[in-house]
Amino acid sequence: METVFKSENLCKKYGKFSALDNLNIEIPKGSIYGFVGKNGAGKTTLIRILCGLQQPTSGSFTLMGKSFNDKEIYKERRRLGAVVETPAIYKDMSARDNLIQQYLLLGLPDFNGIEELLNLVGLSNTGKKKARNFSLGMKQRLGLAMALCGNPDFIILDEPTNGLDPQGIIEIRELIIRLNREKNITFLISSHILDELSRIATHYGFIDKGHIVRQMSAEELHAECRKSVRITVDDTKILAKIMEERNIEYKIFDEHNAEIYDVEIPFSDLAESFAEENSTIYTMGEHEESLEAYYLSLLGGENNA
Amino acid sequence: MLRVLYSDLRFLLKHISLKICIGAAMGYALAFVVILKIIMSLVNEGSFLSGEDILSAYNDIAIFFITALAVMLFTPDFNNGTIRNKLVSGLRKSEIFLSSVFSGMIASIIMTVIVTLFEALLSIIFSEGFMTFNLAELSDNFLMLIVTAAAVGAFVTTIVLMFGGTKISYFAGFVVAFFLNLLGSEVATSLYPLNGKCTLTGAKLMLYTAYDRFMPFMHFEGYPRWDFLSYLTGSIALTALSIGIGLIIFSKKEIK
Repeated sequence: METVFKSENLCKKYGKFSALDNLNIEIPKGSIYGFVGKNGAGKTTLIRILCGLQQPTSGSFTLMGKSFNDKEIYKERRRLGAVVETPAIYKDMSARDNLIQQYLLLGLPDFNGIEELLNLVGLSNTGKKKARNFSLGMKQRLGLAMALCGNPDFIILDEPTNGLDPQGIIEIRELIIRLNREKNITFLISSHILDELSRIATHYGFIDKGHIVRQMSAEELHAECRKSVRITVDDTKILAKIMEERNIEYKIFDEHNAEIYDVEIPFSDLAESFAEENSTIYTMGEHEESLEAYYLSLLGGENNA
Repeated sequence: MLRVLYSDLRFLLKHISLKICIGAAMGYALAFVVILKIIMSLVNEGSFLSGEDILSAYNDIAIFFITALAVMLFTPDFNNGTIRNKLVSGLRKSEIFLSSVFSGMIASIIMTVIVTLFEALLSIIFSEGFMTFNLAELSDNFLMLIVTAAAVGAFVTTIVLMFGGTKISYFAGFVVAFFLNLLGSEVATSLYPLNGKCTLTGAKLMLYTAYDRFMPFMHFEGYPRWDFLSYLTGSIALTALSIGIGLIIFSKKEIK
């Protein structure tokens, strides 16, 4: 498998605190890699090391095949586009001027692609309006346009849909999928919105306490996600009693709704048991565990993603 | 290196900070002339304003204007994350640092040239003429001022970049400028007392003289007292030291 980024036993310490602890990760070329973890799990630290903003304490990594201690690695970063934490934009400049700055930084010969980029992110009608006066969503779009300058091979996006309205979220999602499919651009996306991530990611990396707990493809995740039956009854206490008797795992949501984790159970059997208890089943349907539920079962708890 | 310098220069020419600082310095020079004129007309009718007096208005506090310009130009690079963007775009820290320092020097020169020309215009309009210097000496003084402004620009930009990303970057340059201004006054008044002769002797005299001769901050103090080569040597030394030390610190600095 060809990778754009691969780390081995990567560590980053701040005093006694280990932000990254023997982290091993592989980002396949051409993938949309969803990076998932709690706040403080080490996502941003890894992104910062990848972008050259910080140096690892120990361990190694390769970026586009170049080792981290290769003096020429900075050249590989020219094939990189990134929005790290907040969009890096010149607030006293217009969207167009910001993109010109980025073109100059990258040493691009002309500014021909700027209008296309502005159209792509929906900022073509901002004229001379200064980026300072942009909404959060517009700044996010401009940050994305800056990351897209120079046709990069690998784009890193930290919370790309942060501050976007629903329409904007859909547009950015479609843009990412289109760029991935048409230009084979690899994406590393860190996002708190797991539902959104699950719609685009082809690969996942789950990070906790500075190391990767699990890496998997979307197909593997799909296969591993538990299937369940969502059920609506007149009384979930009776459902609990029946499930206990049959030794089936279940989860009660409220007095009418519950979920049972045995999709093989015949409906007629279940209906019979409820009839014996003078209880009624109103609806029943198969349900697949979401990325969010998988994440919770893998990493648990609050302060998610 | 050139592409980032081109980008930085474009930024500084478009940024409002340069215009604000030039406007403020010109405003200060104008206010200086107007206030002096009013005082002279009210208090002492016999006195007059010389061209040299007007030309020294900006010089006296140039270091603060140059520091303000460096702070306004380079702290947003850290706050807005654009310096992060430069690294991600495949630039080396040394390139980013050198480009910023050169931009700081150029910004400082632009401001100094424009404000000095404005002062020259004020001198023609409001003064009774130049009493001490002829045109050749004034031109020589102007050249020294440009060299000095470049060196001071490099020094304060280095300070801002070294502390960039922290709150210290906002006032470190001003603290250093204030301290150097005080030191400059002490050296100047000790070497050239208004009443009587200089009483310094031995090592202290040597040290004060060397500081007066080579330290660019002293070149803003009053009229030229030394040859152009001394000023040039001091300015080159300060620029080289700023770049050398700054490069070492900045390349080890982790960008937030």
